[in-house]
Amino acid sequence: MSLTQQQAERYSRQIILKEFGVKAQEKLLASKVLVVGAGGLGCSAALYLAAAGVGTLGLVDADEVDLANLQRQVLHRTADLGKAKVDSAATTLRAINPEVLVRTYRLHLAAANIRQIIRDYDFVIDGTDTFGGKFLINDACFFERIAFSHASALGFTGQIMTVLPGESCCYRCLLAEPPASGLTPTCSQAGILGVLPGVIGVLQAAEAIKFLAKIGELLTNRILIYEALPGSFREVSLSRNPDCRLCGQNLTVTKLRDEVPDDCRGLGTAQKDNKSARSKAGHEG
Amino acid sequence: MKVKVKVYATLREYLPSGSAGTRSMELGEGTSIRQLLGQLRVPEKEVAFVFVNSAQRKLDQALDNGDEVGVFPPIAGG
Repeated sequence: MSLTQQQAERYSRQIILKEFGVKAQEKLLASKVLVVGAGGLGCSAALYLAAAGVGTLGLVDADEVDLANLQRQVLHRTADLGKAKVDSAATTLRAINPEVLVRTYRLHLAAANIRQIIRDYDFVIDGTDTFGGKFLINDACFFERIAFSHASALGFTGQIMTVLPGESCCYRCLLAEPPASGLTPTCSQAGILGVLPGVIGVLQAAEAIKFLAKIGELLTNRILIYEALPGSFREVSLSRNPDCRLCGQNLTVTKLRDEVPDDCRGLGTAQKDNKSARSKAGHEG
Repeated sequence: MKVKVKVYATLREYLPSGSAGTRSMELGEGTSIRQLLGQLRVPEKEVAFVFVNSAQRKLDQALDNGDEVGVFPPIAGG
């Protein structure tokens, strides 16, 4: 595969980087990334992956665009209210870079369908906002041996780590099971600073690009914490958990299952700021 | 011995407001992370992971003088 003149110009600012070059660009153009959740994290990550020239981007989300999404989910516009998120996101991505093949999956990811979808991709971005979604992606990527970027963002705080299944610390090494329902708030309950998933999602895109282009060092066996209020990053070194239920000796997760969903939505969706969720938050104080 | 503790995100409510989630504490020799969480009244089920001086540690780990302890909750927003 060789670059066209237009591609050489479009991607020139990263091609001239000696650590990147034409070879890395060619790898990106031949790569497929699945972004699960077209919410705050997913919009931010997909925006930069499309601009960077990742050849195929898959988008998974079952929801429609809601007014309360627009403060942070930057691929959707006011005119898109009520439209399927995957459609509004795909329209924006195609406008930014028509070279990118954008595939849309308007559905809830579940144990029954996730493996068939992700196995067609080289890297997965976890842009979900439920523990159920995060465990499902972690486990499915382990069984399919697909690298992925885990991230979460809530309030003013975000976290990100990259997982090379079977090689580096996985999400279950860190957190064995989802916390009990209602123990931790969602974005619609606790709030989220709009720029926060932007920052974290862009970091996820950077991880995907480094993985695909085979450059730099991935955020494996470490988790990066970003706090917007003090404006600080903290890196914590992690180790694989020898007792991990998925990738350690204490094997109890031997097949995919749908974890008990979080309170307000199904799996594979992101940022459904619906009125019922807000009203629920109000009741819970 | 003295340790510096920082709690993150939703766990900040367990420290006095205005503390920005940080607190210096005087602890007995050999105090474990689990005992520290007990003193802070932070329920273990609300903790995803704890790190000491930027490395993840198990809750039965004993702390040393001068340690910097970070306590992070499970978060799932996106």
